[in-house]
Amino acid sequence: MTRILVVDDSPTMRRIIATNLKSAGFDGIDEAADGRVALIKMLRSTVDLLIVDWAMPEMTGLELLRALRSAPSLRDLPVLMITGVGAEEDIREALEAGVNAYIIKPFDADTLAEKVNDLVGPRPTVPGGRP
Amino acid sequence: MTVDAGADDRALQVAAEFAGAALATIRPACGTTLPSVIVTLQGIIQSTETAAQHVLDAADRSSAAVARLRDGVTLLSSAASREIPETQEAWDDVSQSLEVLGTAIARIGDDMQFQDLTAQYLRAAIDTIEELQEQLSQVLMILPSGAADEQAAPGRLAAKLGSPAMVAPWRQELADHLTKERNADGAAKASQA
Repeated sequence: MTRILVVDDSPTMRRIIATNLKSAGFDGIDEAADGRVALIKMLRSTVDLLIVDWAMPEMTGLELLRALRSAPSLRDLPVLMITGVGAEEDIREALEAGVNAYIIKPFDADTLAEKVNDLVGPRPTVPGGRP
Repeated sequence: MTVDAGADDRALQVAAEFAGAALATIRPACGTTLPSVIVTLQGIIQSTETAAQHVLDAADRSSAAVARLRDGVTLLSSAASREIPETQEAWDDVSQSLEVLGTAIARIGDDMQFQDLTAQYLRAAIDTIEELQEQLSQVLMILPSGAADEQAAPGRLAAKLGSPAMVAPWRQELADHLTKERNADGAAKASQA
């Protein structure tokens, strides 16, 4: 089972992302509402993929990413950023900070599945999932 | 070159009056309108978040129902087609309609992303307003307050700038007053007729 941690301060976005991941065949989904909580969760349990928003209170996605990349045990963790921030210089900044894939909101289910599959490998098709 | 001291004095007086009038508008805007706009925008973020969750709840329930219907149709289709072959086309139609329904429900859920994006724009607007309010407050602290400030109409200004949370009671009073006035006028005309 692939363990995916979804970090977004919006409950709506967390739910939409989790629903799409489940439809794509990913079941081990955990959520966090901000970067600090996410960091604690990642230090306490194994995570295979981090999906993170950029603009969050307390600790932004980029700050979380920089904290991860400085921790030896989390340095190589794949990170997918899903954000409304779409300016070229911002995307460059995120990629330079160590983001492995970048999705701009609003996204569609196919884009999310494609990026996640690229990072952790495809899951078997879920019966009754999205057509 | 001659200096017209009188003209300078008049210009200064006009400038002072203009500044006084501007202050009379800015003080209530800073103290009343801007905070109420912030409260209103925060309320919009919260209410749209709640609404989005309700839509997602409904989408989840609908998706589950579609999945059950799909299973049921598959079972019934295979059983019925053996007895009455003509119904196969109808079952296929139902199956295709369920696929369309499932896709539409998923799309409705995904489109709730607009709530998060809208909330981000509103939060950016709130940050800007708070910054502006802080800067205005600092400027106003060093300027003298005048009697004109008391005579300003913050309610009217707030209404123009769009702050229903703050001015709603005032607007309701006006609405009630106008309604009574209209009713009284209507009754008077009816009695004359």
